Amino acid sequence: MDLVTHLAHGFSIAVTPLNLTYCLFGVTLGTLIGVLPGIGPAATLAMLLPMTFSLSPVTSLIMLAGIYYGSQYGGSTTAILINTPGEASSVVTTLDGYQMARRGRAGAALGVAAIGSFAAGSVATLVVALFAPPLSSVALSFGAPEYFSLMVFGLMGAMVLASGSLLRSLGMVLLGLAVGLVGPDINSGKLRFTYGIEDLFDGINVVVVAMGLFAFAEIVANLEHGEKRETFTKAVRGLLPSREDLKRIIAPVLRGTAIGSLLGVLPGGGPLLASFAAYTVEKKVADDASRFGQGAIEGVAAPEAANNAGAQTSFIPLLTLGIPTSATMALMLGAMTMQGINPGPQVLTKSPDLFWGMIASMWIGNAMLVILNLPLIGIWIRLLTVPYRLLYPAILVFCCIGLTSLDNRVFDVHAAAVFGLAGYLLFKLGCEPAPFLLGFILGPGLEENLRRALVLSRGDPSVFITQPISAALLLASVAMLAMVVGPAVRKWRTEVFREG
Amino acid sequence: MVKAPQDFWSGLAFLGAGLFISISAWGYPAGTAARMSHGYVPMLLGYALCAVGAASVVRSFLVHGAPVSRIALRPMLPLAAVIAFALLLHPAGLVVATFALIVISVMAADRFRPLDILILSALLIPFNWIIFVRALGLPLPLLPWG
Amino acid sequence: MIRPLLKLTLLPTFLTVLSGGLLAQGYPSKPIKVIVPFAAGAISDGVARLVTERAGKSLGASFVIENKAGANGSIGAREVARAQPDGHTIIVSSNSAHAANLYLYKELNYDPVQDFVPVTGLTKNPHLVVVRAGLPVQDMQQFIGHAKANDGKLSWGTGNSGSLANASLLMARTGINAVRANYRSQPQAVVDLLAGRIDFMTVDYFNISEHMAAGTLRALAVTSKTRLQALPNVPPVADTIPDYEVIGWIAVFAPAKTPAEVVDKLNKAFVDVLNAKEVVDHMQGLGMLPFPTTPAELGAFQKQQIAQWTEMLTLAGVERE
Repeated sequence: MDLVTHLAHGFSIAVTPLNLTYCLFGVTLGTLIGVLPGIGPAATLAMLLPMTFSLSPVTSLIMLAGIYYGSQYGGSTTAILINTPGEASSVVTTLDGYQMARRGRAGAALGVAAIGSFAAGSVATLVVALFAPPLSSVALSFGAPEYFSLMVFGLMGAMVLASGSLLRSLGMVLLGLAVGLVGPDINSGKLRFTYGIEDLFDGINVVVVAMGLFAFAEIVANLEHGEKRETFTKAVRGLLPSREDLKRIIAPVLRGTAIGSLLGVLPGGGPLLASFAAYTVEKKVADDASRFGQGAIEGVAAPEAANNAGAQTSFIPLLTLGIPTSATMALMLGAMTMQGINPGPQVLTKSPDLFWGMIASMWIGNAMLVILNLPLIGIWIRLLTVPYRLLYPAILVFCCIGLTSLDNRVFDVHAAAVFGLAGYLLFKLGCEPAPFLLGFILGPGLEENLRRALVLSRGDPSVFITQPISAALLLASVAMLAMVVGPAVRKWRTEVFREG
Repeated sequence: MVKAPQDFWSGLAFLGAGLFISISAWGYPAGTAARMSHGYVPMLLGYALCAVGAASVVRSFLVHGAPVSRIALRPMLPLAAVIAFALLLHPAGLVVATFALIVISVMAADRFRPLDILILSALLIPFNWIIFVRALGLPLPLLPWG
Repeated sequence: MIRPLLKLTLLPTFLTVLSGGLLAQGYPSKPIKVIVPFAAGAISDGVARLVTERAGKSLGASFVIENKAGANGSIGAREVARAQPDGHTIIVSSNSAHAANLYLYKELNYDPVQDFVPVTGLTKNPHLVVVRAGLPVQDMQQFIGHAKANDGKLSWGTGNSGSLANASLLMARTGINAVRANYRSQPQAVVDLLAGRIDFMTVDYFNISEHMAAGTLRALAVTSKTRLQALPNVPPVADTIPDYEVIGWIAVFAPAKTPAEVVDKLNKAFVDVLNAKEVVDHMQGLGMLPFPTTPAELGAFQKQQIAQWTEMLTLAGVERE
């Protein structure tokens, strides 16, 4: 079969000593980057770009790609250990991953994240190999109305997955949307909500929000409960996931992989939306939804599978259409262009070495990451036995340095502190940070696509319902909302009447 | 009277935020629904937040809900520590700023142990220097004089 | 009385000239810092690296690239404006920082003309006028006719200020009215063009080279006066609209008081690189035209460009910040 010969060819390229070395280097560096809060793959790629000029195109891409999905693995680690998403797409992992860690099951969480990611990565690699051309046409069929509806769907999911009050989640989503708009408006270039503060002229960095709302607020909350919250040091039950754990995650991983593979192809959608969607689906199909948010292992496995699958398939639009799906991808595109490679519809025929070599190396990279990360779990667990009173200052120090490294200024540190305060106060009021973060990330895109859809349809709002994909997504959003609001309203009504 | 303090206060918070956002949004041209200008969506968001806040406040009088626990001040010291770090970094250098961060954040713990400061400083300050200044090449001043 | 006066003026002048010459003798005495006001991985960044690496070899020096993106190139430009004018700090700038910004920012904290001395151009980056595959036009004349017959019905997209300015000028000169859609980046706009959701745009070659080859997009004209090596069948817009030339460009500048001898040394090193066949081929492959000049030619070009960009941005309705 054609596929087998292609893959064999790809493996023969990927398995050379040089390419293997650079793959290992890439994934290791990527994991490190992912674990260090604040330093992300984009900055690292930018720094290593000059190095790629002296390497062959295939080798450079193998290394850069390794850094990219290595950082996804590393990002899950901090999400589980310190409730801070190392990568935006690991936000969902904090929901149940961190709770598992607090209950002494950090090892299982980390193990499941690694194994789920590897399984998803393997399947996604096959997906890329088999379905690259048809999937790239999926990328093309998403225009402004479709993106808008997709984001609405994602936001509905964010509200639904929050375990607290629906009304408060809605409030957090709206607040996040608004804060996400701080900075220049894409359509007119005009500044909004900056009040003359120069440091806000480029908007607020998502890392600032993530660190403040998740890491800082969590530290304050932990300290408030004093020694009682040091569940880390007690009962570390087993380093790795149990047999039962592994059985439970099979279906979630498969579902997550499917969702991630599909959503990763969309420029601007990608791993983050995939992980949210996967989590929502799991919560819906679970027999006991109340377990979610308290340390449900499915709530770690599915999003991790989804975001890793998404990370792999996001190479499809890059390689086949020359369209980068994120800032990191744009850097890779730059690296390719400088090497004289122009990705596009004919990359499969004109540069088969590149395409198949990369695919083979993706799988190898995933394998390396699992082999790298599983033993590391032991080290992380040991790290968690450090008394919390020594741990949290260290976390603060790393976060602060990471924040200053973002844009070479201390403003981001101040801003994160502000978000930390806000996060803590809102937590006191029963409001959860995850919906806020999703609103923050999706806000600008939501507005951008809404406006563009209306401009191109000459002001006709029916375009959202007449385009089939968009209509389907909106319908799904409404359905999801109804499923949650229905019972909630009923409960509310009975309570009101009971209180009389 | 107020049966659900969390709903009440979060409702007020959302209401306040919504008002703030709406008022800011009025300062930008709104355009029309068909040709939105950059003030349109912020305005909608502001109004929606006000609605959510109002609904939450109303509900807090009707249905019982969770209470708000006391806000403690000492646990917030880490935030002050972070700000101290940011203020000190450029004038005083990485060493001083990190030390200040450690000292202030340690004071937030239940029992103040000076030994902690020593351990953390000895480990973290060199580690920071190696990873962030040497390996990653971040341009951070090390000491007050250079 | 005259003699002491002469001595007072001649001596310093003599010393300055001498030190300039001495400086040029010992130049370069350390690595030369090249500020690149674009993000790493951007096309212009790649060109800067390519050219400086080779120029370094011929000059016997090492060029060290520092990316300082932000404020449309202003941040990097400002740093070089204030740097020591000894030839050890230069900037690979573009039509943004050294032309358009004069219009875009009401209070620019550097002067693109007075604070710098031109060294040489590096590349001219034209755009292509590209239409979606389904649009029933085969050349510029047909396109203009079709657009005017469907006044206001066509749509176009732009992902950066360069293509915005270019398309706006084009439409102003031809009397076309079309609906504008804004995108965050050119590739994003290209997706909608491929899918047929917008009708046309102006875009750099490297963003669409593969689609040209595959036939999924159609280029009607190129906005430079010379054709691109990669697309010999695409005529210049100037064939339809006389004297039309809108191009992005990147060029090397040094701080204002850099000695002339140093500037000349730099100029020669870069121009040599720009004349090398493999460099020319590489640039043409990216859809760029090599642009070697003398310092004086670059200076004159810059002044003309400032005027042109001011006009284009006004037409495009871009507001000044």
